[in-house]
Amino acid sequence: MNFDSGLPIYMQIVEIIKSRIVTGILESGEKLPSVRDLATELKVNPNTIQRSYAELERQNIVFTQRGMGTFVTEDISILEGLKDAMAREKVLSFMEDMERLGYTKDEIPDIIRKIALEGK
Amino acid sequence: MENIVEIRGLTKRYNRTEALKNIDLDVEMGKVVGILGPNGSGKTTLIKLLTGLLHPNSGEIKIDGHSPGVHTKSVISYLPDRNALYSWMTVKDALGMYKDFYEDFDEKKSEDLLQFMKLDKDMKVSNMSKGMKEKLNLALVLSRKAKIYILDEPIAGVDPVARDQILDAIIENYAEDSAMIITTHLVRDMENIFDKVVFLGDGEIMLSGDAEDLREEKNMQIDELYKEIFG
Amino acid sequence: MFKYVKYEMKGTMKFLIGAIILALGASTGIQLFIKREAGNTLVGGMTVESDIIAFLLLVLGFILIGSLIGAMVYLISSYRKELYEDRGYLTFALPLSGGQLLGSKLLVALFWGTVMGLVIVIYNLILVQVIMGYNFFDDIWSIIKQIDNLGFLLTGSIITSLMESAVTLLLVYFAITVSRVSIKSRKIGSLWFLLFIILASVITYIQELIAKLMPMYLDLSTMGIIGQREAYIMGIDSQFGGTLSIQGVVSIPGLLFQILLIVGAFFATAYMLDKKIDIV
Repeated sequence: MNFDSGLPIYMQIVEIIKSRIVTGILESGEKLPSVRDLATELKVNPNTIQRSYAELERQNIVFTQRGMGTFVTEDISILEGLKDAMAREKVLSFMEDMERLGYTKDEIPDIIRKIALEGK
Repeated sequence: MENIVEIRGLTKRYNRTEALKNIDLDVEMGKVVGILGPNGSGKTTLIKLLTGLLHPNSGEIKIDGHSPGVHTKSVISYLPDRNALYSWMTVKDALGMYKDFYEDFDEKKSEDLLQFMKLDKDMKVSNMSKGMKEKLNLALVLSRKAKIYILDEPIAGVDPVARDQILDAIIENYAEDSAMIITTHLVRDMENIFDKVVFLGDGEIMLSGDAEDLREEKNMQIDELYKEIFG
Repeated sequence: MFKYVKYEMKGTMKFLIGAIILALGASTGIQLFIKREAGNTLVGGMTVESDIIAFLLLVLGFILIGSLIGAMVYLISSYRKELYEDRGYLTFALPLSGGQLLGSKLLVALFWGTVMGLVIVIYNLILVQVIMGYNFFDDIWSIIKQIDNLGFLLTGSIITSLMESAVTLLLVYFAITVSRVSIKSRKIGSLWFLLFIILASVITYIQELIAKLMPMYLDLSTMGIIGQREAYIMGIDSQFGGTLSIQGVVSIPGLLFQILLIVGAFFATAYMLDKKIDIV
């Protein structure tokens, strides 16, 4: 796997895991892959995965049980918050692109509605 | 974390050309260090000084608290940049030699690695392709529970499938109670497995540091940084 | 301690056994042709065939000598290869001191030299009996029975001949190692042979000089120390140095010098292997 942005790899892995949680690949309360397995899957240093898990734990998205492994939090509000935050990020970056194309903030909802209706 | 390798003021000359100029470098236990640089930058010279194949003109090397010698050779598991197994050997002979000479050799692990690399024990080393020799040598090196693994260009000149197998084997065999030093000029393929990187050019350290910190600080991946430094 | 002996043996086995078989084959041929020649001469003097047989004998003789020289060159090159070829990347990365590596190479070379010599001599003695119907063993046995102090003489001759071989081999190893350390080029590296010849000549000269200046000999048949006069009476050359003479006598200072030489060449070479050799 190649990581292309200028972000540190552990941050990029944090994002990968967050999106796996939000899209339901990893469910609430589910055990995350072991550090070694994920290291092998993503072909990165196990220390990097360790750091990603620590960062996720710091953000209360996962928790570690001694000798058992790392699990996705069961606190629904955190997961909802995570989903909201990701949506917010996507929307903000989308809006930035649209503004670059010349649309104003007010015009953006209109064009979304128009295109969404066309699709039906 | 304790340093398993400490290098101070290391200089090596071949005749009059200086291959390494006054190098200082520490390697911590539990870390994977990438020595990056183009061909002829002094990577292999540095490795061979660590493994005791070369002797420095000046400076000091301490490995596990000792100068290079019989003790350090017993704690280093070394993959040279070429096949050095004797031409008369079969895979079985090579395994036997590792078992005889290295107390930390794990037979069970060697069986697993040979199977993983799809290598037959009765094959003669001299009849193998370059990729197979590379995989056999790596299997032998990783079958030891050494304190330090030193891999010189482990994926140079092998096909993409073997390259992936080799990378997987390195990652799977990483252990907290050991350190790895890996040289490469194929930075894009390997950068994700390094904790620390050292850019070596013309025998001098151009830049070194924690790989993630460098990505954050320079806002680019190590591969791009490499191109910027040596491009 | 000498774990490396096993791998040196395995590596040299094929070639050395081949050389021994070749030498035995050539010996068989020589004896058969000699017998045939002897038969022909008995019947009707020189025949046309005898020229061819003489030529074949010469060829077989060369093969016999060639196999011996080949074995020697091979054993020496087995040391040289460690310093010049890729295999050194494995050998010098092993947790093995220079002394252990050198000792292993020396032991295996001495082993093959002894085995090859004994096998060829014993095979030829047996062959003489089988082909010519002449029993050399009876002759040898009757000579042996007359010797006093056989044990000492036998042990003495084994030890001195091994020492002589060890000195030669160690000088070769020393010369190869010095060349490797001082001259980086592989081609000029063959200068070791010149260095070896010079060293060997100087050492022989010194050894003879020592023996001449200090005429003290050990007579193995009596285990007594004898001086110049007795040695002269026994027909010992005053130039005679270290190893056993035909009369069963060794020069004590010569012997000590040889021991010193073995120890010195061994440790000097081992030191260079540990501290000076760069595997490039």
